[in-house]
Amino acid sequence: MYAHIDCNNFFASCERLFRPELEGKPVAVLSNNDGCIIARSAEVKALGITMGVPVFQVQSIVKAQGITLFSANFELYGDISERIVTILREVTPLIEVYSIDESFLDLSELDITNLSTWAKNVQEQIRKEVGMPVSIGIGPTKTLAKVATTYAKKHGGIAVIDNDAIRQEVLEGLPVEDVWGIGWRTAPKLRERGVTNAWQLVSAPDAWLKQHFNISGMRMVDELRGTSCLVFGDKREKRQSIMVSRAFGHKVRAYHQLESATASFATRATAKLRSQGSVCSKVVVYLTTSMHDERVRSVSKSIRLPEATADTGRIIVTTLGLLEELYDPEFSYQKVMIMLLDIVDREAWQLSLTDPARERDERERLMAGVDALNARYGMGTVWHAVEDKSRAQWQSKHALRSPRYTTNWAELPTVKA
Amino acid sequence: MSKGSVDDGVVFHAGFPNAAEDERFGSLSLDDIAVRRRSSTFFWRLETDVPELLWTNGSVLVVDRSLEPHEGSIVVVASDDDFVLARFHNEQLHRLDGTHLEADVSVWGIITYCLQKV
Repeated sequence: MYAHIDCNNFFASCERLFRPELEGKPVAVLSNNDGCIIARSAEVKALGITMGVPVFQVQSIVKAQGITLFSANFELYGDISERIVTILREVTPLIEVYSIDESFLDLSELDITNLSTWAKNVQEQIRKEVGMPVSIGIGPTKTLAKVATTYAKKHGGIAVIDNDAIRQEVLEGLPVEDVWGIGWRTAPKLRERGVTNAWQLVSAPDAWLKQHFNISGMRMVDELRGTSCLVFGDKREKRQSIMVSRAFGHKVRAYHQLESATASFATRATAKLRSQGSVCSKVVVYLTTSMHDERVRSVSKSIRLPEATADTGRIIVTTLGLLEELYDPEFSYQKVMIMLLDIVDREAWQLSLTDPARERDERERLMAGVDALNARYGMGTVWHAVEDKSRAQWQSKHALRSPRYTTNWAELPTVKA
Repeated sequence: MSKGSVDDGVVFHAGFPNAAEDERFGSLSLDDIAVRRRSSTFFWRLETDVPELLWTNGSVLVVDRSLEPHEGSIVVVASDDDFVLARFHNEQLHRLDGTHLEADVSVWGIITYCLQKV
């Protein structure tokens, strides 16, 4: 059996951990630049505010209903997520971290007499120790476990699919467009043919299903029927490309500001590269005005590096060279994007070198030190001089961000005595 | 060469092999003492102007959410819009000045250590 653990309104719940007076009150979290609503508490969902809506469009509801808005506080969310994963790893090492707020557990190695009592204990432990409400679904396949969680959210927070009767009940309640892996293109076609829920889908004859689904679609149907066919495992695959981009808080014309933004994004991209133990040998810089401007300029340029690297200094110098070629002072820019490509494993790359240069080792040690300091004291403690953080117009707006309670000593929550 | 000292304070160099060269020991970290369970431990900042309190303003409090309060525990409680310290005594919560706390407050976590500047 598999368990699927899904945090309830994860971002909003993280904010409530240190603002318990917001329990039961509407809370929403905004995207970078405070533009769109990217997470909603149950109360906000009930008000009919949809995911991704630009906040200015719902400003009147926000005011009238007293919705508390937060700028995204990803350091806090990441830290809370890690704590939950740590607890789940103690339950069983057979874990697949699916996203920041969802994980699967393979229960086959555990000795569980009553699945729903077991789930209740895990749910209670996470609520107590990390303050996070979670829903848990259990089923004989990963897909059924995930489907069970959807059902659990409306039925007391825990659902176990351990017999055909409950499987039928759960699948009958699941609209066909909500099935994992069924796209918006396929769903209307299925509905036209009278297949409106997941139970009707799995009851259809294979010959008919094969006309509509490819191999991965058929696999999903098998999973819903109770035959496990998805692989399980920590699939934190190394990324083949790394991208860092941000729309600026304001339009930016001054070259030195673009320079500072580019260097900062390059730093972040290279840190990501090092964190997965890779090096890259191709760099792309992309520069664009707003698409709504009268005169649009959207340009990019790439360069192949003479030697694969994960050295922040080299990547910065390279991206700044590209920026200089792309820059036209006649325009005001909205966005810079850095992409690192041709990524390979650092060790494999080192092995391919006959004579590892001493200088490279020293640079690597320096980079490891920079990463360690930034990890300990917060991203941006140590930076290259060109990433001028002061007076930077390009920095994202996050006016409503809550303190980084768990990742920054200067922003700890306070208690009075 | 390892360094040692004798009672009269003279530092001498003993030609003794450094045991740490054979076996690597990690340096001591306050986490070893104060952080019993990382996933449920949070740090808080104390804000106080009560001179009688033994803990000073600005101290860092180590708070473990996994523990249950016992007699004498000092806990962080959420009361209205504020977090305040309370003492668990006779199965009830009291403010540190002894006044009774209303019944509907909830315990956020148990304080296990206080780190203060001396």
